[in-house]
Amino acid sequence: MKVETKVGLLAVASLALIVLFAYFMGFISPFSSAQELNVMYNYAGGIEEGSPVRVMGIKVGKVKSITFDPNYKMENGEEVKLRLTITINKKAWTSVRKDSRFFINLAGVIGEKFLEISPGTAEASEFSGGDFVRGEDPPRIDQLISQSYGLAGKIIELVEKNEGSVTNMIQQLDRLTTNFNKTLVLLDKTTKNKEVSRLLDNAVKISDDVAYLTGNLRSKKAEETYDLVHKLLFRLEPLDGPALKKFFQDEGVKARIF
Amino acid sequence: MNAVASVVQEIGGTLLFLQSILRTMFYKRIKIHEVFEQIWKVTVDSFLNTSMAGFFVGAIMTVQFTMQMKEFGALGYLGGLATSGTFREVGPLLIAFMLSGKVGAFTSAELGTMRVTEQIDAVRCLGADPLQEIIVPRFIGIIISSFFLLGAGLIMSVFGGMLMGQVFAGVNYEEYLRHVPTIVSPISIINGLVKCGVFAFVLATICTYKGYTTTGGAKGVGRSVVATAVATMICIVVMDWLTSFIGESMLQMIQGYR
Amino acid sequence: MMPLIVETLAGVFTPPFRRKEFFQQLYFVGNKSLFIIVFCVSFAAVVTILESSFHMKLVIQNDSMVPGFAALLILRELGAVVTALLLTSRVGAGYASEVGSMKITEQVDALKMLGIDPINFLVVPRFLACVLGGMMLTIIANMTCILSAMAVSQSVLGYTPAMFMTSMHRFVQFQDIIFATIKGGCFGAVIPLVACYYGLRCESGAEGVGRATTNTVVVASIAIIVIDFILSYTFSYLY
Repeated sequence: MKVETKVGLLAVASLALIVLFAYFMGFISPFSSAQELNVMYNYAGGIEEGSPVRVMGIKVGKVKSITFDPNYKMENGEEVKLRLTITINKKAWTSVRKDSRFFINLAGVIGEKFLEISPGTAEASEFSGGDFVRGEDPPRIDQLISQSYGLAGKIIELVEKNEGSVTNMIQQLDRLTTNFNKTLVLLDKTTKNKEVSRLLDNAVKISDDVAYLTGNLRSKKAEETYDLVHKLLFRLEPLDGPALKKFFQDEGVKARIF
Repeated sequence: MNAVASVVQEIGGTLLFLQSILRTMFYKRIKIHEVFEQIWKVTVDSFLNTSMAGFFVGAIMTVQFTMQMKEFGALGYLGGLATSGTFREVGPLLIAFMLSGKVGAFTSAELGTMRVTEQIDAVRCLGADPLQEIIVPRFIGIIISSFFLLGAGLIMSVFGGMLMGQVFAGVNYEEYLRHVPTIVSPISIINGLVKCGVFAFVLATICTYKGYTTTGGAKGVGRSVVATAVATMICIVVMDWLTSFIGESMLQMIQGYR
Repeated sequence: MMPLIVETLAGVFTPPFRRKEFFQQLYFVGNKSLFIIVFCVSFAAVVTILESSFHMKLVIQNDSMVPGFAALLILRELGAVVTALLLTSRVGAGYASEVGSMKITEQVDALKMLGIDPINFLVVPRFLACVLGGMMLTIIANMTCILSAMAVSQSVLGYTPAMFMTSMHRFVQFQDIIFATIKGGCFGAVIPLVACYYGLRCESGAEGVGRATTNTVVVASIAIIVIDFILSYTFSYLY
């Protein structure tokens, strides 16, 4: 074999290895069977070219290119200015329907961003390659965070402005709790007293009696009495209102005089 | 077939030569003065080179680790990981490569020159044993000073890593060194030292053998230097694997019995 | 050193282009070193993957990201540097002793007598061959390295090739292999320049050749490590 041939073989082998590496790592895909779709966003937080595209959590493609398209309008007239061209595997293509929704999502330890496509319903028709669809703009977490920062700032400002009164309040609270503690201690001591324990016993007895009384009240006889009273009142009602009023007023006056 | 036979022949020759060196070492008086002269000469000659190589190896490892750690936001571990990686694996390997270039090539060139200018035969004519007079001091000297040099290189690698941590990653010295004791265990250091010792032994054997068996004038010296460099590098890589492997299985055995 | 570099770079664009010599040298650099490099690099890859697994387990008690990390370390550092250091000892030392013996046997002077520029005749083909050979060998070494790492991670750590690839996907970019190739080319350029510099300055006698060879190996190795540092530092801003 000639020297040139051997050298040439080496060069070809190394080139082939580079191509193979690029193919396996997915940097080039000459035999790809992927369909393309243009997803429009106004804000696509953190998506890069090459970010994965997933359908139902399975990776089926990637973001191929990101273009700024300031003059594009959707069919309903909405201005959407960012175009992500994504590729979707043939296998997953039929799962993406016209009513699928396109989210931007976050996953993994490093917080990798990816484009999530929800599966559509079977009634909706399929896309044809290169269609334009509107994606769901992700919530602006950065704005949320900055807003909450603003809130925290305001609280801090408030506290700082009224520093005197706040400290005063805290001091008073402190005093209150100390007093309360003292009372508690006192109470604790007094409960050990004999008299107090007798008092407590009495109180218990009284409450028992009351319970007995109310128990009587709840008996059948009592219920009959209630009924009677109720009926009486019912009969009284159609009576002359003003006369009744007068009677009560007179009675009231008497009562006051006594 | 021819190539395999010659490789086997080389291995056999080296082992036989090693055997005769060892026999000379144990049965004949070691020339202490010569040994110390060799240690001094080799160490002084190569100190600058190895420590410089160590410095840059540490710096490179730190730069590489920084790029990976940044993604995880774990720059606090940078110092420990880079130091541990350099001590256990990359440091001994690259510094030993450096050493095989410097010490190995130098010794084999020196011995080869002695051989082709018939100085070794002259020693034999004077009734002295060339193995005892020339080879054994060099053999011991190279092993001991390689140990020093590799140690110096490893320590310099820490300094290189510290500097790059400061300049490139923005990790200051204390932060860099803080995690070193937690990650670099004594076993790692022993591992590094064992590797150093094995590399030094292999290096000393091969370069003295190749130098001692030089034939064929000035061209032969060049040839034997090339052969030394290639053979030592191959053996160092293989020994690196072997020590890692044996070390790991021994560690497993110890932990298994504990 | 400087005049030699300038003259060599000028000589690249000056005819005559010595095609036969170039291919001969490329054969020597590429094909003849291929086996040794592939052999050594596979061993280095094995050790790298075992050690990274050890470190990962130490720090995050889990080695699921080892394939990615090890592949990255191999692609960015180890493949190119180990290849270059092996080339230094094999090709660099070989060139130094070859050119050195030509110098002391006055063949270089004979070339001058014949009106042939020794730089054009000796250095330029070697330079080109080494740059090209370094690139090709780096690519092949990297791929072998990753393949053997894959094999080891399957047999020792229990990662299937598919898992290995997925883990690599997360970390490896296409720039990595391009930068590794550039590194290989740069290292390849350093080796013949250093070797020819010491070879052409070789003093007469066996001692001279030995010293030229030793110096070549030392200076080229240090230059490679320093250049590697500079390139790593530069490339880290380009990702």
